[in-house]
Amino acid sequence: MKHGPMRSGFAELIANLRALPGNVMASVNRSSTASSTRGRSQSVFGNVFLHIHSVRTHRWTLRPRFTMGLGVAAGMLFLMLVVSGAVLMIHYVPSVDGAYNSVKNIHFVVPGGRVIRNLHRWAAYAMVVAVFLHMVRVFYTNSYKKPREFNWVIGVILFVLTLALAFTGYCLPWDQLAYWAITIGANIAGSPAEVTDAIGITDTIDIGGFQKLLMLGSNSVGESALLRFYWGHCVVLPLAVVMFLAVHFWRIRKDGGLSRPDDIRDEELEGTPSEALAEEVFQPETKSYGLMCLVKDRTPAVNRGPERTVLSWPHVLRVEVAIAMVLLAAMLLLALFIDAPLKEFANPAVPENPAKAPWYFLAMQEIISYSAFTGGMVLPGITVLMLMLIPFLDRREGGTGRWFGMPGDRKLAGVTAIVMAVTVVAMLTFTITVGWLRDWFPDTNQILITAVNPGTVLAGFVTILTLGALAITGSTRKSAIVFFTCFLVSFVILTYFALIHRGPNWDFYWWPSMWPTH
Amino acid sequence: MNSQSIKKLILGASLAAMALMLFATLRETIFVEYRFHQKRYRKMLIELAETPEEKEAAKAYPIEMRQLVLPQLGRTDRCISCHAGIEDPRMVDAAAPLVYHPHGLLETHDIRQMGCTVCHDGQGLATTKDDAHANEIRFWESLRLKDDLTQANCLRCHHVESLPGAATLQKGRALFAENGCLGCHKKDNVGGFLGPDLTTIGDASFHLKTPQGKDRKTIINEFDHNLNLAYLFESVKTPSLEPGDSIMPDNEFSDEEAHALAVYMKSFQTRKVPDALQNFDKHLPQPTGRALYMEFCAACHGKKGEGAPLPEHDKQGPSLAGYGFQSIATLDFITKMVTESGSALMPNWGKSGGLSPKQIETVSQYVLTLREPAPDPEPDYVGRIDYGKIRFESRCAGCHGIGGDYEIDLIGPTLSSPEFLTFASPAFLTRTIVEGRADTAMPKWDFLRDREIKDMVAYLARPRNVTPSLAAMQAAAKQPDAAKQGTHVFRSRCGSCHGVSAEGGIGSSLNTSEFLGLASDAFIHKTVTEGRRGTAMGAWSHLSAKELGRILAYLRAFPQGTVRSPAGKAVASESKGRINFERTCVACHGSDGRGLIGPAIGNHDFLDAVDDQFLRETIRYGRMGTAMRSNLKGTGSFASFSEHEVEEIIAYMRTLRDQPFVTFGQAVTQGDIPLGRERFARNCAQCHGAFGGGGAGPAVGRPGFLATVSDGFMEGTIANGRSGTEMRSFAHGRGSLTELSEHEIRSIVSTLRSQEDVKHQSDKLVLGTASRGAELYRGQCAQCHGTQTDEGFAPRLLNPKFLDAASDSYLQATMSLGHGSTMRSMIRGGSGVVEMTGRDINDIIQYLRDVF
Repeated sequence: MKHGPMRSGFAELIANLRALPGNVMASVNRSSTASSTRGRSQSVFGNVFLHIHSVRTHRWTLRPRFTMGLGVAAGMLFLMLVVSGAVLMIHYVPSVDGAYNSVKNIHFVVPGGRVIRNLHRWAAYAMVVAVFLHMVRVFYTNSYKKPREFNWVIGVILFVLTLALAFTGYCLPWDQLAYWAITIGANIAGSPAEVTDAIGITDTIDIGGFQKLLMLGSNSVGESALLRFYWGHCVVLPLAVVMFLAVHFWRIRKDGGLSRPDDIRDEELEGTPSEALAEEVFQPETKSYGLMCLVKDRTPAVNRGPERTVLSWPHVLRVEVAIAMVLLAAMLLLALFIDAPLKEFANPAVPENPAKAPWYFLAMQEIISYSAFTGGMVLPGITVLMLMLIPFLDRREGGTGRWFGMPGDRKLAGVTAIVMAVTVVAMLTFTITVGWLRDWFPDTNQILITAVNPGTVLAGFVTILTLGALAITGSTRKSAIVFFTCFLVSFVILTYFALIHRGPNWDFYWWPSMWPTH
Repeated sequence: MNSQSIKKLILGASLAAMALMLFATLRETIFVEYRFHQKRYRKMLIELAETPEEKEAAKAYPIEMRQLVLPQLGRTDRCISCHAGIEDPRMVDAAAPLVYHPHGLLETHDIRQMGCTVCHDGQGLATTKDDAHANEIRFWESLRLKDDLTQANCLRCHHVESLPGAATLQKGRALFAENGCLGCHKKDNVGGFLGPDLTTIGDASFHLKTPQGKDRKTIINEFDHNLNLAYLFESVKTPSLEPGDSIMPDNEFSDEEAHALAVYMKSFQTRKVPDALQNFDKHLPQPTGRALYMEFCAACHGKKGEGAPLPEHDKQGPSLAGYGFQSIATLDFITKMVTESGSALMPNWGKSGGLSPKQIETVSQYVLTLREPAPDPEPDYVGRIDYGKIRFESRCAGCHGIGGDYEIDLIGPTLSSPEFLTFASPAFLTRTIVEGRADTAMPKWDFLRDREIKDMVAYLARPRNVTPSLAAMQAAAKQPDAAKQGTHVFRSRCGSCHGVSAEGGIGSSLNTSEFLGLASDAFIHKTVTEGRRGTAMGAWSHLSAKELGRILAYLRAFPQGTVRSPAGKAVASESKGRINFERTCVACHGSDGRGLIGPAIGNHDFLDAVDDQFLRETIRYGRMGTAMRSNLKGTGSFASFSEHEVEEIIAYMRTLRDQPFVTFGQAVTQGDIPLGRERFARNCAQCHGAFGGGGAGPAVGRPGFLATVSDGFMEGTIANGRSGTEMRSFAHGRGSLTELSEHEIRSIVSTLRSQEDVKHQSDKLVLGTASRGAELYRGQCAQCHGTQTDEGFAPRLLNPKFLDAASDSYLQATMSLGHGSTMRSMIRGGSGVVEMTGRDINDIIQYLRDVF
């Protein structure tokens, strides 16, 4: 001040410059550097990304054996896919003439392109696995129960979207794999014609044709189909995933964090991070209600103490970062040493034999091999619908938050798995050795085959088991376990079977090396 | 897990991730294959540099990714990143990959225009050896070709014919063409359909087509891991391996041959090079008939037309060389069958098979040359009548009847009627047997040994009775009422041609004093008993001495003229005579005296019968009542020759004695075609078919018939009829229902000769009973030829295209003659297995015709 306005102005500028990093950080974080517990809390709820987490997280959530980090892993893989995908998008040319060569260019001359493409592919596969296992975890820990029903539904939708993303991406290199995968997909979309043809109304209502046209944008697999897959893979599906993920995460918080049992014993929490505050109970009058008191509903953590919770930062974040870094290292390792498949340039004249779908669709393809409509649309549709309905059909409380939380759950799941495994293997053995309707009566009406084939027989068996369990145990939860276990086991076995034991013409082979490779 | 261990995990994972990224970075920037090669190349450049400037330039050689961008080809080839010295002749002795391109090929192939992969294949976009050569990388379609395998890609721009240096290709191409591959396989829309289309077999990627045999690893290594080539090699070497039910015959190629074929077939690819870069020779010669045959036909019909088995089909490709086919097949039939066979096994070459009409014609003509060579002539052999009888009965009697006698329902015409035999000179018979009669069931019997034919001719032309001698004739003429009886004999035997009063008609006038004065008894005897070849004057050797004598007496009853010219042999210049002969005489007697409206005088039949005085007298003074006028100077109306000129003409005529008879098939008659057409339709068509296309009687309007007969033969047959057959005499004064004048007969002959109406003739000439034929077909034919629903072992006959191409006579002949080794002769007396009559055969044909 004493040196006049000009001098003081410079001094202020210099002071501001000196304080620049701190102020920028503070403005970003909406608070000062987090050194205190309060500061850390404020950092979390003052940061849109960190505020995905609640400020405090229950120690139960941090038990590794409970979540196995699968949800976080799936999310992290999605993040990796978004980043690597964005890089690939710069170099990829979504046209029939350009796609294949652009992928080769990515492999050979784009700096880092080969690693990034490989990583994108392996991370996509890993994400499918992670999402699937995450669903298995949520089911067997009984975590879809009220109030988390809707988040389970969102989860199932995200599972379907993940598969859709993986499939659309699989088709983009426009090699033989891509071309024939799209062709199979289009045939599945067109499969309602199986039924409409059989009853002779295809000329009037051609549902299959419409679906196929919708998918391909043309009558044949070509430029427009590729563009649609590109558009789906890079714009629509990622946006949808982001939106549903936002809801998914938000609902975790709104539904009170991850599920946990009401009767947690202290010894069960051993090994999870703890802090002094964790056991302290606040007095109700110290809480302010804010806006929450104006609405009449369940409120998050209002009127409750920390209750064995720890601060999300650093405990949860640290685990998340660890999962992310381990996954990144693993994916890099894969990406560096195993190249993503790229076959010949798509050649409509030379069908792949067998033209196998990507592995996560192979269970579906196995039942499609009997009837495209049943295997490709009806059964998957019913399965997804049933998965979504589980939390609404089974509302029995209890056992939430623990693997096989109710007595007998584990045993039931085990027995069901064995029964179902035997049934699926027997069914496959039967169809391979004895055949099916068409082999015995070549003139069998397609409607009959669409209705009665190994896929529907298995579905019928699952229905009987599920309803039988309901009748015997009288518990919707037990019934749900039977249904889900059947789904899980048949999905895994069929996938394995189609991956390893199906060869050219979808014939049975003990090992791929025994293929006649026609 | 406590916070510390989580922190350690984060640290460890992060360090690992960073290490991996560092590794990736180094791998991509420092340890790059082409950098090492380029550095080595730079070192060599520096060593090679001679001046300091060059050394500086060499040092400045940048180490970088190099590529050839080839917009015309839609390719980008990065091969030169490693093959840095490929364009540098100084690198000729360097080791790969820096070596200069061998064989100086880059001088003609601009690498900046064409790049590398268009010839060598491989992954042009790749920047590492493993990826670029791709020989062990299972993902990519295009494996780099090396050594002679590269030749396959030469055909992207060149015709194999213009690459004489490419030995492997040449060999492969030759094998491909000589083994009839395109008989079953298609290439570029040309070829058969029994085997897979080969048009893009060279494109097929490895995981679709791979070798299957036990030694596949060896084969794959042999072809530098190129599974496509290895597959092609194996499929031609051991066709039964893949697929297991392949019907491809094993051609027993050697390894070397299969290798060449594989390389050649590797060139069957979708087009990869734009027109601008192609170098196809536009002026290649059209393939020969043989080349076409070998490429498209030999696989099923045998390389020499011997026929070949078609495995798995239990069928035989019919033989084309055997007489059973060659003797009866016409160019038209072959062309039609080749164009569109309608068979389930033989491609319709003119339609889906992709051959042009010109090519089909060429190959069809070639098929006719596949004929097995005729046996050697046996000039010293004299035909034996007794052998001939046996031969006739085994070979001919099925169609012509035992002894050639008339019988109802015979396929062939009667051969024993005297009227026929008067014309049927041994030469005529030989010719008809050897050449057959096209468009009829009479095949070419030229596959018979000369002695067989001679025997048959001897048998047919055998003297039916002893020809009365001149003396016997003269003696008979002296009988008291010989002249009176002669009137009747002459009228019945000669009057149809020479006129009831010998005033002339088709034949010359005989009642003129000029003629009678000149004609010695010997002349008359010789002419009557031996006839005059090529004219309507047959050999009436079957007349008895009494009849001959009466005819002679009848003729001698006319006023006998006196001879005005001197006797003696003419001695003069033949060449001068020729000038006058050709200036004057040919107008009536035809060129070389072969006959036109005047008699045929240029043959030894005539010239041997007359002496020079006869000729001299006739030329000098003409012949009353005929168009032959006197020609001596002062009397002449046509010409006025001096006496010496007449001598010259005679001298010239004597040279005509030895010219060969070529009267068959030649038009010498000049008639009124519209009149002839009308008369034919009214009198002849009922039996001989509309426009002579054939029916119950022979197909007299067909080229095959016309080519074997003379006008005189036809005129004589019309005039005299043929006793013992349905053919009656039509001449004036014979008391027939229909009488035709000389002019009308000539007009009919001219009409047939003109061939103006040949297009209206129907191919279908047989009339039979279809229901009876159906039963016979089931009994005798269906076992091999199948029914309408079942395929049989033999070619399918119930095939509209086949029936369209095959004429009735073709069917008749095949059933009578047999075909190849499997189709037996079905006619009685043929093979002795099935004894069908002509009627049976016609019924079967009728059945076949009625099915469609």
